Amino acid sequence: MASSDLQKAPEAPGLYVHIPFCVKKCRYCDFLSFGVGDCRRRYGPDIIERYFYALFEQLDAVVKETALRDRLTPREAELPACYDTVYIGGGTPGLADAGLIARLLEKLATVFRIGGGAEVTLEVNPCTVSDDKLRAYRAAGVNRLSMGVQSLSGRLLNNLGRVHTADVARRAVDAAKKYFDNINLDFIFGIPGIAGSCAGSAPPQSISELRDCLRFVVSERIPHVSFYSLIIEPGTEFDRLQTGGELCLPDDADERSMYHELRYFLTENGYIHYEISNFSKPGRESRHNLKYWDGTPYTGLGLGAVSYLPASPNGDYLRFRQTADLSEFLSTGSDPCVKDRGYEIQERLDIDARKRDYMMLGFRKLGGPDPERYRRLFNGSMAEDFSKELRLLKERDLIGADNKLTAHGLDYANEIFMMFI
Amino acid sequence: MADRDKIRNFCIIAHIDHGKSTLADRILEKTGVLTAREMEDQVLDNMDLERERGITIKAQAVRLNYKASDGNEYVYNLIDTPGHVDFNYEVSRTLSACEGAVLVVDASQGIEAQTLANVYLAIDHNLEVVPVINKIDLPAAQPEAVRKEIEDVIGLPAEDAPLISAKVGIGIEEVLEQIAQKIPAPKGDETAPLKALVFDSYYDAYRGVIVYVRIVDGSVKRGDTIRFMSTGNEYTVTEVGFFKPGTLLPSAEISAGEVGYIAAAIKDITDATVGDTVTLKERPAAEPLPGYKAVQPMVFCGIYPVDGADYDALRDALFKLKLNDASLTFEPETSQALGFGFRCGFLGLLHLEIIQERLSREFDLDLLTTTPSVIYYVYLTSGEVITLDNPSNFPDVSTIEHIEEPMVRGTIMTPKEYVGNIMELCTDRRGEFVNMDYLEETRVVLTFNLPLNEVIYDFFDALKSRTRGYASLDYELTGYQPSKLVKLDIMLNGQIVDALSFIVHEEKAYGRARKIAEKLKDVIPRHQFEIPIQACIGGKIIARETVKAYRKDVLAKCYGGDITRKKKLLEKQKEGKKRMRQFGNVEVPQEAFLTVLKLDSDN
Repeated sequence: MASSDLQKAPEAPGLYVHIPFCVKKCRYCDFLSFGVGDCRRRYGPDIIERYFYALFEQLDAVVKETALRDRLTPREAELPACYDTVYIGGGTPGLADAGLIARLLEKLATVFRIGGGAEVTLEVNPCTVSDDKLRAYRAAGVNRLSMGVQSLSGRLLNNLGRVHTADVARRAVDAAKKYFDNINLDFIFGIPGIAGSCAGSAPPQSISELRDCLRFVVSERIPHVSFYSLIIEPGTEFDRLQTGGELCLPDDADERSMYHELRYFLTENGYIHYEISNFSKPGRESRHNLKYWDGTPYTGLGLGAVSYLPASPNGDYLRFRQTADLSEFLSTGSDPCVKDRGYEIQERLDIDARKRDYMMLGFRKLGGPDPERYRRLFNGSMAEDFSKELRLLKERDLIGADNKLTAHGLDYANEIFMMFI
Repeated sequence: MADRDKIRNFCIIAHIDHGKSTLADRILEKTGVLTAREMEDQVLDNMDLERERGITIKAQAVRLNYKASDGNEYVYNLIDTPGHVDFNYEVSRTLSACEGAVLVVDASQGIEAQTLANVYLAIDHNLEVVPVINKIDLPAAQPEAVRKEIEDVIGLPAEDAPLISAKVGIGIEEVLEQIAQKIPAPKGDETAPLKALVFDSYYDAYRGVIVYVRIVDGSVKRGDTIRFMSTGNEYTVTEVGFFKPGTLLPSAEISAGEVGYIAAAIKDITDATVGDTVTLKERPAAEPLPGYKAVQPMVFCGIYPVDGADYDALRDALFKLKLNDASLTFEPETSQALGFGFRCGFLGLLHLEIIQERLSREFDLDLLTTTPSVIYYVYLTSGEVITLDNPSNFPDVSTIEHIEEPMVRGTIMTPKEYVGNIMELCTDRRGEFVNMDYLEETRVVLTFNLPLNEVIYDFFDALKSRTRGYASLDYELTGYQPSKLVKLDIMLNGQIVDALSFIVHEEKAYGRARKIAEKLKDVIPRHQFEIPIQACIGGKIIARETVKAYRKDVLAKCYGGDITRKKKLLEKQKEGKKRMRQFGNVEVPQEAFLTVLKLDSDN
């Protein structure tokens, strides 16, 4: 990748493709994803293939239909913008045959302008990777792998409802390192114990169980990790277990000590804490995810995928979402707009709303929203536009004099976000 | 003007949900005042709130014409009555305006507590009671059993009680016939000096107060100068007339036996109070009609706007409600915790709730209400006596000689199987048992002396829940009695929240304090720091709870698709905060104030 491309990178849009299938739905997960077994029973054994074909058909329509293309692609003057990140997420896209991933990437490259040095991420699950698959991904152009490890404790993996074991995860990481140097591992902390029928209540994740993960990350020199504080989302299995009194969640204070410890440990070991839940070695931040927090446009393809794109020359943006109904997504037809109709506009954002979003999302980053970028995007002064909010946040020690998140702000970041809602 | 022999003044009485309003609607429909198309269900209960709660708050009246099978044309005045103990006085005045009552009994449920309470009230007022058996269309209907019950329990002949279904319109004609046959025509002397009983009033922006009257003797017409006998205030009559559904029908004169209205450019509704007697200045009656009581508010509380900027709107709203509600009183007050608001006086807790709901619904106001209080007399060592209706003004304990609290005589009518429960409830509320009378084999009347401040805390709800709704309650103020009362303060994070303070009997203070602390612990959200909740008397802490601190408030993830959804979550969180009131650095939701109000309701 030429360094001049990197200079331009922050303004280039990102491309997200959603693959909603998993081996099995995890207990904490409220993402748009389905256990593939259920889907095969309902839609037939070739459901994954059909899903990809539906995606391909939509991509063909983007080429043919100007209106669809204009809606899905931001333009730089006369040319469609050049994407510099591609992120295939899920679900577990790694569940699909490597050939389908390869065809998808090939197809994306013919439909969209994708830069030569683009960051191409694929999400995988430790139990669906194999040496062959990994080699094929690499050959197909994937250059960053994101693996959901979540924990290295067998009992906690079990509690989470994960399908892999700690050993499988360690071997998968080993294998991945053969083909990829740019790797992210996802972890969860604050994992609950689950009351067993005979053993009574099992304890929640201990600090030493967390330390195992931290030591692994450091010793394996993983360039990027996420540590997510477990949140019980409505409608999940965990939600039901909690209602039934079966979850033994860690005390708030214990959960926060875990966060404080992992933060300390990772930064001591050369990681940069750049977003509330994300850490990386210098230069290895997720360029794709940064787009979400930097107010950069992105195109979302696939079931339930969201796009955030300019909508009019007056600076309005739209955040719109493709249908989340799998049957609707799979439906085919000669009508060219059949692949178009499943879009739902979530928000129309005028400049003011975009500014507030920029602030809110910017404060997910430890460095806070960038005033220079703000000036470039909105032709205004962040300090002036939000003087009152910034002052209040400083008074409450949620951000520092330098407009960066404080340690206090990291624990109570919603207070900051709400300031811009 | 109608021939007095052909006038029938009556009301409809029933247990809740036995079909009083539906029958009223059918009668209106049958007598042709309303076509079916014009009808909105339950025309008489015309406040949303009344319809929702199935209770009548304001009395309503309507005049109808009916041609009976005897060939005569009758004038019917149907008067709807309020149905709650808070408004018992209003009910009794309304009944005084009638000669008869149609008693509606549900054919599937039979006689219930309210049926009896209402029947006895009607009989006390010498009304002719015409029983009808409703809901005969229901599969569970047992009209013959109910007929027998009416005869056995109430002692009313019921052999020819009409079997009706107000809902589907069966038997309405028969009810109308019996009203003509059985209810006596009003008596009265048209030539005697005017005596008109005020049974309700409301404020009309163009005509001033519209005074609902039953003319007992004499007559009144436009141009007369009338005098209200309780106040001596005089006005010139601008209009008299009769009631049509939803409107007024002016007439030249109204005279003895008739029900109608008087308008006399009266500005203030408190000048036309229920129960007062109207007479003529030129030829006054020698004495007023019996039974007048000046209505005094018995329950007080502070009402504050959640948003201080709504103070003026709240004041305007109270003035508007006051136009139609003589028993509502208010004056400005300030609270350290709640800012500027009003000290309001009510007839009882239901009246309070109704006003509160109307303020929020009809005027779209977000309000905070303090714990209700009664009027106490505080005797100071200096010999001075203070009238206290606000815990905030509770004097320093060392200056108090003793305190007296208002007492009521409570009459509870109940099936005998609930006597134990009621005894328990009344004892718990510091009641003193006075008497128990058997009405008949299965039904008793219990009499207790009770402190009013115990009755205003959801006593009515507790009574209903302990008797499966069968008991009915009536109470009247009997006087004041010395009592060991203390002021209970609630401290949040070490700071007294004046709006949560209340006056309570010493012996009950501990239990109540503990309950409040527990409840507040549930409703006060966790903050970034620990919040002690302390209940104390004087400086002494008698109960304590702690709201634990929360240590995190952060969305772990926020990516592309999530942003709109997460924003909505944050919006909700922010909205919740807005509705809270800041005390020092503690945010208290409005719920906390209601908690104290409804402390015993979920026992």
